[in-house]
Amino acid sequence: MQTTTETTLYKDLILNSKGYFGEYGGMFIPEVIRPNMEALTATFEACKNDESFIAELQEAYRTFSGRPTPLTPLHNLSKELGGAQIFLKREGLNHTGAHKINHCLGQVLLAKKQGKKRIIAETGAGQHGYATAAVCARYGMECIVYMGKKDYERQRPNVFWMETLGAKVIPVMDGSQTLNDAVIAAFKDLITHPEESHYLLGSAVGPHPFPLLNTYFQKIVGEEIKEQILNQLGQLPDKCLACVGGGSNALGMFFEFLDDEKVELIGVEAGGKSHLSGEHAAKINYGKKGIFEGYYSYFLQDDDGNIEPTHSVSAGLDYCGVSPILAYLYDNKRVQFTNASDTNTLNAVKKLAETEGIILALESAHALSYAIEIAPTLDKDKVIVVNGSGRGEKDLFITMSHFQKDSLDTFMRNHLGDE
Amino acid sequence: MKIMAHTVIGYPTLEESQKIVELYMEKGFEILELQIPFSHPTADGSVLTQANRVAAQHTSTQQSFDFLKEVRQTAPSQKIMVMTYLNKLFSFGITEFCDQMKALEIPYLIIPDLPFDSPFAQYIHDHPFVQLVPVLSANVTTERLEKALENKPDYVYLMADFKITGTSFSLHENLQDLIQKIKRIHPAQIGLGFGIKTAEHVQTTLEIADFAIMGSALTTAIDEGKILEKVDELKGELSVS
Repeated sequence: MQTTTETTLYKDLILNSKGYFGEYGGMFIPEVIRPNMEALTATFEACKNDESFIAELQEAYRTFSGRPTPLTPLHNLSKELGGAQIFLKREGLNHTGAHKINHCLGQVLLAKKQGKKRIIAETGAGQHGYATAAVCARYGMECIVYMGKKDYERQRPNVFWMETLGAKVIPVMDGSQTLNDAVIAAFKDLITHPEESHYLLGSAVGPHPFPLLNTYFQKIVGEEIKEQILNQLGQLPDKCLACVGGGSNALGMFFEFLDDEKVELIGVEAGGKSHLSGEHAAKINYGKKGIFEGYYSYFLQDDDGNIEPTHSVSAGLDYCGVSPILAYLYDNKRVQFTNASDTNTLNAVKKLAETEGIILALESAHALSYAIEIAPTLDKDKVIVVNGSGRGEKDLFITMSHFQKDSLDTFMRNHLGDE
Repeated sequence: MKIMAHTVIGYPTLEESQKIVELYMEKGFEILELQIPFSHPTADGSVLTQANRVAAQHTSTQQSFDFLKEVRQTAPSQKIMVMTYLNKLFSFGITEFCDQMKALEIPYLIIPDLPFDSPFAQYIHDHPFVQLVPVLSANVTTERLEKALENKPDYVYLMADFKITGTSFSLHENLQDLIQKIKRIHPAQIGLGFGIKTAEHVQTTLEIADFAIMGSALTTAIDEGKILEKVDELKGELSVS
């Protein structure tokens, strides 16, 4: 039998990395923001093993976000599929509705340690911006959220909530007016206010130390899963499934299991409408190596190195790059990748709602969709855990326009008619 | 004119940018900074982001080199720097990119998102002809500055303030000290840019730097159809003083 000493100990290797994961990662940034990144790295290194910092973070996880989140056995769905037992990690029960709050709390505590009072964030659909605005209000920080103009217009309810929480939401008029442009605008803000600001980047992407520190603040997810599944079943899962946009929820789930070589770790990317360029957001499946937004990883790009547009039914996965840590784990065959289409994802949301009474975020439903696909092919003693990284109420207009377009149209007409 | 004039190759079209470059050479800008367009230029302001976005749709890296070749043929001794982003080099092949620059006798490369001490920068440092022009700002530490100057670059590009391209103009209070410090370590020519819009800004810049860098202001003039007037105005005001 192979012992763990003969295998790569990924957890130590990642936690002690200096910003490169194999060949991936790095800090490809203009020199002007290097002092920020270096100071943030130093603060993180000092805090990651500091008991009082960890205690403060744990307390915030518990009393502000509502951790631990449950691990729910999906008895009805598993029975109907007739194969493996499926469990759902309920990250959607966190405050603000998703796992994002885990790294928002961690980063805001780091910013506090650094004496920063001004937090900058990017947001696509608004979930990360919403979580950031909430922690900024809680910790008394000024909050500026950049949002592509198109997203700003189509996600107006989230803009309203962010503003209610005291954040200043700035629509970005540049480029395609979506998430990439918001990331770039946030970096530009940091370039212009490097001394007083902390950029609270929202996934395990970007220049060092963001991939590392967001993985660190998310690893609580997998730690809880391990404890919960051992309590409930007395065994480790056979497969862990998580959706992958940038990779923060996937790394949060996978990290604790990286050195448990019998646990298969599977990332599910956004297969979108097709594998054609511009119709999906599957970086590992269809992307190429490159350097963008400060890090070296896989990106959706054309043959000339220009970044390509992406598509996913779920805004949270609609992004051109993927965590350098996942790129490294993929190359080392520790994490496998597949993808789920928009249609299968929407059907998974409906299936879970009907069988288990849970409305899952479209992002997380990519992972569930793959679980539904493979469960029937596995024995009944096999265990699959799906990371339910977010709850689905936020997706109302998308899911409703798919399943009940007429009643949505009627509602909108009546609502507008009232005014 | 002690100005490095920047333009995006292929903006608004390849043909028009050819004419713009000819105009800049005819009017006597000392250095040309020609940008190979990238779809998502992370360190450029709105004006140049838009110009990049437009140009990238019809101007590949190879077409940019073909463009540069024509410029080089008409002006064999014109000082030129090539500016772009790291992913464009990486996608093209870093060494192959540098070889094409050598063939055109353009030694200077500006890559704002490539730290001078990163593994990918080493390919450039190892190239016998091309050199990386470090882009620095007033908050650079002495340690980083010394490291940047270890490669003995002919030029250093300084940010006037904590700004992105095309915003307002100001000079950071530490810049003069920084320039003196650079010159003490290594006698590089110092170009200063970010936010320079008028002849007055150029004059202020030249009090402390060797040349001024203009980008967004010129592209804005292109957008307004007033590039000829803008260049003549600069030339007029700068020759008077």
